[in-house]
Order: sequence, then C-alpha cells, then structure tokens
Amino acid sequence: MTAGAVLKRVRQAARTRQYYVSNHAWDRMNERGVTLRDVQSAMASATSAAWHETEETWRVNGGTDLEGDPLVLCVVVNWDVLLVTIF
Amino acid sequence: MSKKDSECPECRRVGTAVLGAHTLRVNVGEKVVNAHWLRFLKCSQCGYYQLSAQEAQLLQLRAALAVLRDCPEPSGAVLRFARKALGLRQSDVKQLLDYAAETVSRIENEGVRAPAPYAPALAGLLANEIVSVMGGDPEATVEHRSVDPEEETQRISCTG
Repeated sequence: MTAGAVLKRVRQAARTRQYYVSNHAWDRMNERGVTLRDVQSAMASATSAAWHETEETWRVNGGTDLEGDPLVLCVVVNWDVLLVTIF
Repeated sequence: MSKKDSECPECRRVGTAVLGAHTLRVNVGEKVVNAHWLRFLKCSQCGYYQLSAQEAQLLQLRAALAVLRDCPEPSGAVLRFARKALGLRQSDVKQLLDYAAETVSRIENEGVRAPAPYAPALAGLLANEIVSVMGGDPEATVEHRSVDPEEETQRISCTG
C-alpha cells in the first residue's frame, strides 16, 4: 500500500467514523485529554503518511486537533483502520 | 480481536479473548470516570482490546455528561473536554450557545468561573449527541439500543 492510499483511507475513515481505537491509543488519549473528535480532526487534516518498518505501522503526519495543535497518529491499515497510538 | 477464538494482535495468543463488561477508564479533565456498561473482547493474557470509533465516542460523551451532572462547578479542564467531545472549537460555541471564544478560553484556561447556564447547556448538547450517535447503525449500537442515556450515565462511577 502506498502512502497516498493510506492517507486516503485514513481521511475516509474520519469521514465515515469507521475505524478502531486500540487500548494503547485509548490510554494515550486519556493521558493527554484528546477526544475522538480531535483524532478525527487530525485524520481529516493529515497531509502525509510514512511507513515505520520497526513498528510495522503508518505514521500519519500534518494533522491538527480541534484547537489546531499538531496531532500525529500511528495507524495500521488493513480491512479497517486501527489507531494504534497518538503522539 | 473480532471473535473469541481469534488471535490477539498484541501477544499473538489464540483463544485468550474474553467477552465481558470490562472497566474502561475515561479521564474528563481532572476527573476519572470508570465505565462498566460496554461489553467488548479483551485479551486475558496481555489486556489488549480495541474499540470501534462509535463505542469510544459514546464513552467520552457519556463520561463528560456524567461529570457535568455530578459536579456543581466543573473545572475549566472538564468543560474543555466536554466541548471537545462534542467536536466544538471555541469559536463554534459562539454560534451554538452565544458565548464568545475569548470567554470560553478564559473559562477553560484561566479558571474564570463559567456563567451558571454554560455547563447545563453543554450537558444538553452532550445528551443530544449521545442520542444522535446511538441512533446510527443499529448493528453497531446493539449494546445500547434498549438503554435510556439518562439511566445509562448513572451506571458510570466518577472519582477525582
């Protein structure tokens, strides 16, 4: 899968709200006070995706939360989009 | 983990998924809400689970509503979480509730006391949003369809 295809799937998942949140992502969201709507904002506004070989995840960059602050997402894209963690 | 006998994506063990109403923590500002009402699969070995976006959103909305109803004077951090759970920017609050973005910012960040109607107004929006989210895909909301959101929030315990 290409970075462009990942970005497209992530944006689509934000639009349809069809994605999953892992326990790691949930914990990080709790720690940082990040809401699902922040995540969806970052998914929709992301501008690039890069494959991380060691973690076997896509890092989705350039997106911002509801306040306009940067929110980097770590996702796995198979049949569904799974949010693995946030930075 | 979509089935009880599937492989855990985290620890790769098979058949370790347990379906149940596991406790989920939701931080609402400085408050901690422990929600017990959602049934989902969790790995008994490593604790891995995953939530659908809809489930996660409902958890946050209900937790925020429970805290707003429990706390007579919610903090700025609680009010910020409630607003963001609704997907509202500070500037959106002007349009919906007629509070200027600057006012919202002072309430959330500078400890300025919120006008009396502000928290109840947010609570009202949260209640409406919960009904709206629950009224989506009926298959995805099977856990919640028969439950009144008012009653549901009472089953959430809140500390902090």
